[in-house]
Amino acid sequence: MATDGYEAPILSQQLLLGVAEELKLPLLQIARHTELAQLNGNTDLGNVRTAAQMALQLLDNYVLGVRLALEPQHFPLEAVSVSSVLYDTSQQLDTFAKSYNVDLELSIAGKYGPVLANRQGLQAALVSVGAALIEAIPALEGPRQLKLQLATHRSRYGVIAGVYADTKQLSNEALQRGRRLQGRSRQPLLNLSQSNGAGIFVADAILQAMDLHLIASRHHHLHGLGTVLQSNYQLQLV
Amino acid sequence: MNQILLIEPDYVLAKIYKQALEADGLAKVTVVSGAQAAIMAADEHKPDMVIMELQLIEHSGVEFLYEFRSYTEWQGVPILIQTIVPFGEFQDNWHLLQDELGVRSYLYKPHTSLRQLLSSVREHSLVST
Amino acid sequence: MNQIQTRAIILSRTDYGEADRIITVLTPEQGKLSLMARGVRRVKSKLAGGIELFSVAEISYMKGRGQIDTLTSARLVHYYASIVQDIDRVQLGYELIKLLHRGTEDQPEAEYFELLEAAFIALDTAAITTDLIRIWFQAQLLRYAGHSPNLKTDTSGNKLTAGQRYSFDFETVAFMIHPEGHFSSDHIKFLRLIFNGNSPQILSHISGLNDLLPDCLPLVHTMLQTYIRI
Repeated sequence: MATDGYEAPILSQQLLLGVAEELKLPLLQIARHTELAQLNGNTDLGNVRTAAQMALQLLDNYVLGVRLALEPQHFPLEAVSVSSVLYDTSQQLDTFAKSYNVDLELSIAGKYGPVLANRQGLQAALVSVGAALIEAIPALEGPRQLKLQLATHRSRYGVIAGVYADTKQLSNEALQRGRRLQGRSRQPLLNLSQSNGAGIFVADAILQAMDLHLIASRHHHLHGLGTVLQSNYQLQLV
Repeated sequence: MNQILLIEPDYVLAKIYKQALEADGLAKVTVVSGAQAAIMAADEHKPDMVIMELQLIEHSGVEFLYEFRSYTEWQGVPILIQTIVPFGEFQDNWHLLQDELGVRSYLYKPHTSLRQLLSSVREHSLVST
Repeated sequence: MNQIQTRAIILSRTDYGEADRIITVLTPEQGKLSLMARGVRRVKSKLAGGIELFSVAEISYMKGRGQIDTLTSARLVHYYASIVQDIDRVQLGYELIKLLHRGTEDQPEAEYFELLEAAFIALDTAAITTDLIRIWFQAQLLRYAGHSPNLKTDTSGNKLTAGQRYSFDFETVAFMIHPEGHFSSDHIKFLRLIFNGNSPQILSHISGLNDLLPDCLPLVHTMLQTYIRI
């Protein structure tokens, strides 16, 4: 919501431009898949379906972010089970990950209690980050089998839910630089993604609309992006 | 048969282009996702042609072009740019790409079908097909 | 001679020396055993036929002084031949053996032996799909380890009801109401049937099974990874 001249990041024209640019990739994949199918007579269109699904996902997440910013009253905070959100996120990303030869893992063992968040927004943000990293890590790491882990762990700041890979660390400074370059550079996260990183900035904006923050984070020996959530055992009584 | 070095950071697109190029024995394609890997692959596979995206992770495609052309043995290798970056963004530098870096063709991915790509490869190929 | 006779299922085989193998077997009473099978890699070995994978054998072994006892005889009781004719079933067979091996201590209860035997019978039955066998097996491992999910009440303690949609909370190991949840009362009924120990043969007759498996399979798999860490 725009108040005192502040415009929520999700509403920026740069982000809209970024999303539009990012949509080229799945649409290109669909066009070339179908052309290849015509050329070689292969009728398996599973890949087309997957690309279409991810394009729709990006749009859905972006629209959700806009609605969160414009109508926050329709997205109340609630007691959310982080493990449940991460599980649903993994299910949403599963087919897409397979199409990029990325193994998705879940690390959700442990007791964290319910956290205060809007479930839909949180899941959309994690799906958005997950999809962006799934696209990026094969380019980062070459032809070997890659893993992406959806994980939660406790830190001194709260419960962190995030998406992690066995790759170089993206620092918070690089993330901050990327935020400044977003909309001004073709590749604001040059060391993380070959694309404009719209998925990451959409996640960033969704989280900001919920007063949460996207941060660079570590999970054991893995590096990635996550958000800090506050667990509140009193929520179990609600 | 052409040895083609394809520099394509997107895993899914890379598979599609490789399949299309290798169909009917037009070419043997080595795929890499980044500039450094491309230099190493060029050393190993001695490509007859390079098809490359400009928007790469960690390095820009233009950096790669300068590096690649700095080696005498690769100065004559035809290079096709096939990229998500619209030509308009490189229009002012096209003469540089063409004259100094020997880029033969600029193919904007959304407007370039597989047939057009194959046709371009045949047109600029050193090896007769 | 201190010879013990028992039924056994082979879990793994490792070559040792020129002609020997170390085999790990699962037995009903003695749990997992590592046995030295001498000379089985020789062409004329009498033991070789009795210790195939996907078989139940009647074996004798002799207690040795060290860690490993010695296999003295092996007679095939049942070889589930159909399994090896289908690549997917063979793969699943290996996967289930590995899961059981990793998910159990050295002295598992007899029920694990019966579980694996029942798995082989199911794998040997073409009408029972691999996905069904997989989810059933994983659910039994969870059940035996005391990690059955709560399929009676939701996270707020209310009875699970028809017409509601649910998501699964891995911390409380229970379902919670969620309007966009993937799970309906049909899914929960299906899970109840699996976690109540019904055989794959019975489960294969459930109507609408193919619609329920795609959502339930990853759920049970995640439970297994989360609670038993395999």
